[in-house]
Amino acid sequence: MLMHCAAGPFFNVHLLIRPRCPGLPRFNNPYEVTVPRYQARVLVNLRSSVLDPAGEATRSAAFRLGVDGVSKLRIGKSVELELEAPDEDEARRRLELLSDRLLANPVIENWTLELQQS
Amino acid sequence: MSVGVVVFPGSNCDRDVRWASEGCLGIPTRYLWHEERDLSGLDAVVLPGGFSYGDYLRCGAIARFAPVLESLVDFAARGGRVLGICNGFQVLTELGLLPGALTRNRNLHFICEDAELEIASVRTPWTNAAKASDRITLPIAHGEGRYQCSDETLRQLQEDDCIAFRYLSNPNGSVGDIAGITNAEGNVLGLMPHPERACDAVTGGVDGRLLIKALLS
Repeated sequence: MLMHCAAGPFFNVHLLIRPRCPGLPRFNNPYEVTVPRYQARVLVNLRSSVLDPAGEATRSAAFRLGVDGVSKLRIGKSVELELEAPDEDEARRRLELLSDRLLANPVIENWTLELQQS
Repeated sequence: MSVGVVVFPGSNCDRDVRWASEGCLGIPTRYLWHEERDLSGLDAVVLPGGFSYGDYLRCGAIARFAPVLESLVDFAARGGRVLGICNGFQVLTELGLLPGALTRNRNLHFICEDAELEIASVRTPWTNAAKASDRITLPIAHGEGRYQCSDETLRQLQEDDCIAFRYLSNPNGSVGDIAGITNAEGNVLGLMPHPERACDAVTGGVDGRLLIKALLS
């Protein structure tokens, strides 16, 4: 990839230079770009109208363990992700698409998204 | 006139389907590896049972993105017949070719037994060789076969006469005793029972021939 670069106020010319590998250390790499990284967690739960027999079985095991008073137990999934995106809105857009089309099946599941920049 | 049987990593009923169609009924059949996109020359495609991609995430959730299924969506839109059996039914719901979803059996057991079914609709080519309310017996073998859908979807299925098979004795808690459904057009059928395991008299019963024959009828 070639890039145009202003050489400075004393030289009214534009130089063509090749940006160096972004992986090189900063002192040797004037074009290092840091893309924001985000950490996300998507929680996937069965919709309340959908029976959760595995949750019911676990609830009865809680009773056998001697833990009383567990009146509701429903099992979901937690998906942890790290991703790079230009900004938070874009990160959110990508994660919402991912959650809705892959991580959860909206016919039977709901999902919630927790997002923070790392 | 020939039939394709999709082979995903983790499919385990692909050979049974081929034995039923080619071995028992003489229908030319070829396998379709999950990365294949060429469905030319096929009149029907079967998504067989098994555990596609290990059933990771949800049954059928990863299989939905297989290259062969991109072609299958076009194939179905052109009216090609698609039969999804067991895991194949789960894939069809994840893919959106059929409504609803299949969830964990109510009693948490992996159920492996014969199930008596009522033919609930003879509207489509899959079952129009039978009479309404005829009963057939097919084996079931699944841990996640409890059909679930919204009340609205259920009403729509009934209005469009899309419920193809119902269990006489509901084994898994499916809404409306549903064992299999078609799309409104009638060219796509998904069901949890295994018709391919009831085609060879040696293994007990030939009621499944109705559906395997219907691939090309």
